[in-house]
Amino acid sequence: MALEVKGLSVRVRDKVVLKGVSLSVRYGTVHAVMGPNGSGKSSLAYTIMGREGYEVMEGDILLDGESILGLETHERALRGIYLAMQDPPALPGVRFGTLVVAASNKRLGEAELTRVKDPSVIRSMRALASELGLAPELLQREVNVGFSGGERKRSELLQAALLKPKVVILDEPDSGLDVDGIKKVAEYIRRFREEGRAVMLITHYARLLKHVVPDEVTVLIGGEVVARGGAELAFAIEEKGYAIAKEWGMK
Amino acid sequence: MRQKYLELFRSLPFQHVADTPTVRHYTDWRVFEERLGLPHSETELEVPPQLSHIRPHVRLGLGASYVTREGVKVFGEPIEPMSTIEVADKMTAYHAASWRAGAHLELEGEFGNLYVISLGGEAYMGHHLTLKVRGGASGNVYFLDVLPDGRNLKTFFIEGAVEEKASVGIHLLSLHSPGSAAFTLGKFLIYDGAEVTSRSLVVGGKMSRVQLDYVVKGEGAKLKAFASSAGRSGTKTDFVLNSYNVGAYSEVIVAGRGAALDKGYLSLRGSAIVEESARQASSEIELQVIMLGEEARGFAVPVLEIHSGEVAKGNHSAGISHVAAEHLFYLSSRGLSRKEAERLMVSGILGFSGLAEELNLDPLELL
Ligand SMILES: Nc1ncnc2c1ncn2[C@@H]1O[C@H](COP(=O)(O)OP(=O)(O)O)[C@@H](O)[C@H]1O
Ligand SMILES: [Mg+2]
Repeated sequence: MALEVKGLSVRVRDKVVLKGVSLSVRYGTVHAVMGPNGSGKSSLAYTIMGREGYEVMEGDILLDGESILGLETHERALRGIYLAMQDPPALPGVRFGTLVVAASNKRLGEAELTRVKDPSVIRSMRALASELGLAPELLQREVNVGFSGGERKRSELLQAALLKPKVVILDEPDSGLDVDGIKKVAEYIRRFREEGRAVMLITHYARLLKHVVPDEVTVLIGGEVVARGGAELAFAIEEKGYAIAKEWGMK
Repeated sequence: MRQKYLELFRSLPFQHVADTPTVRHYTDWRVFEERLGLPHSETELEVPPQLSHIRPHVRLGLGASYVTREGVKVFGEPIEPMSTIEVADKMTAYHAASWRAGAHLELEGEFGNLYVISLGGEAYMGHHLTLKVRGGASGNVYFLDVLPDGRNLKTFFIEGAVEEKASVGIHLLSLHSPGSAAFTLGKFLIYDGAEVTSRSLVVGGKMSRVQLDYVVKGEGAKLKAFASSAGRSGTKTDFVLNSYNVGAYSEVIVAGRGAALDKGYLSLRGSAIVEESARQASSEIELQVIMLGEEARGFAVPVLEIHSGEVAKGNHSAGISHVAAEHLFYLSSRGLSRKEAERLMVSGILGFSGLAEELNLDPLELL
């Protein structure tokens, strides 16, 4: 099992945002985590990534069978977990290309951040950008400064493809994208699966799931798991709304 | 003349109420006030080690010294100093009355890269430079405004004119050590069809006020100004970039990035003014400041004023953010430790203007 979340309860300041959540993601599969707004999907992603302020009250998170709760965010990243953020922040001053080089240097165990350690990174970055429909100039621009919603999503995906993590968590990678954009994202997710990565795909709507059929679906509402199933669960939700999830339950 | 400036110095205030839209003092004038009684320096302080690889062509210290070369004429004193600068505040009057060393530069043809250094002293040092870039000339002028440590003060003024169709870089590195106080002013007139790229990098002292005024006078004249700055702990920097579109079809882009560190203070401001005569002109100003550290204070204040009825484009935007949770989490989710994340952000901001790279400097070594 790549990633296991076991009975996880999490508090942000005074608010409990996850209550006894358990789910696991196997290598070479896509596990969709669905839920309406505010159900705790992003909180789950942040907690897996070890974000400050997301306090684990109970439960555990395992990567390849080992707890990662004691690790800092960057250590979790270097162990192979990648989170494509729902709404990544703008980083004035830091060029996108510089960020990618720094992140890939770190993965190669290089102390120096900005000097290119592996020249193939630059080639891959350019190739991926063109494949994702990102203008080459974007690589010279500052991370997310003036990026459109679509550019943000695509550049998060570019990093996921380039850094080759074991576990890819994608937090609503499709929001704000047009049909072509959604197809592109789906193509990348299918590729991640084929490459044997474990994919946790967080999504509010099932529309993306038409293009990438998930192996497993877990539904969160109010910070709790209310239903589990296969792709059929996602399509039932698409048709009848989240009300169906509670009826569906854990079958 | 000096007598007249002295009288103005006595009567003028440090700042007029209308100086900023918010009537706020971004410059801590008290630091200057305290040092206005300093005598003239009797020694010139050394060039900081970070710049030791640069051989300046013009050196302003207690006096002026220079080497000339093809396309570059240097005179040992400025020509018509203060002719383009209005003396409307105490510090400008003080400079006009007190500066001692200066030079005039005339550049033509392909003059290459020219380095001009203005050194500091143990007490007060005042430098005044005038610059004329002849029509059609091309090349880069780098002004290195340095001020080693001490309870000192420097005023450094540059007045420049870029004539028709010249295409030049006019760049400023202000490197003021943490205890120093500096008042640096550059004013550049840009004539018909001329194109100026201006890269600046300011790392200030106890109080550094650095102001660059670009008057884009000519028809179709263009300015691109890129600025970087950092406010270190215990220092205050007020960095002002003003542009004036005067000529029809003139184009201005001003973009600045700054970081306030630890307990540092940084304001990055600018007015982009499109005058009535500037038909079909365009102006954009974008300033962003991030704060690293709970006690850091940063301000980004771009103002756009359009007085022309027909404008091709006018844009301004600002961003001020606390680099607390979000940025650091994002970068650490890519595998960078907190220290590395901070270093990447600061070196990116200091490198933004492109000057550090052109001067072969590691931005982090300037802090
Ligand atoms: N940093 C935070 N501070 C305060 N409340 C938060 C924070 N993060 C999440 N929450 C709260 O936790 C709940 C779940 O939010 P979130 O995980 O963002 O849901 P989703 O991603 O499913 O829309 C919401 O009620 C939200 O307001
Ligand atoms: Mg969310």
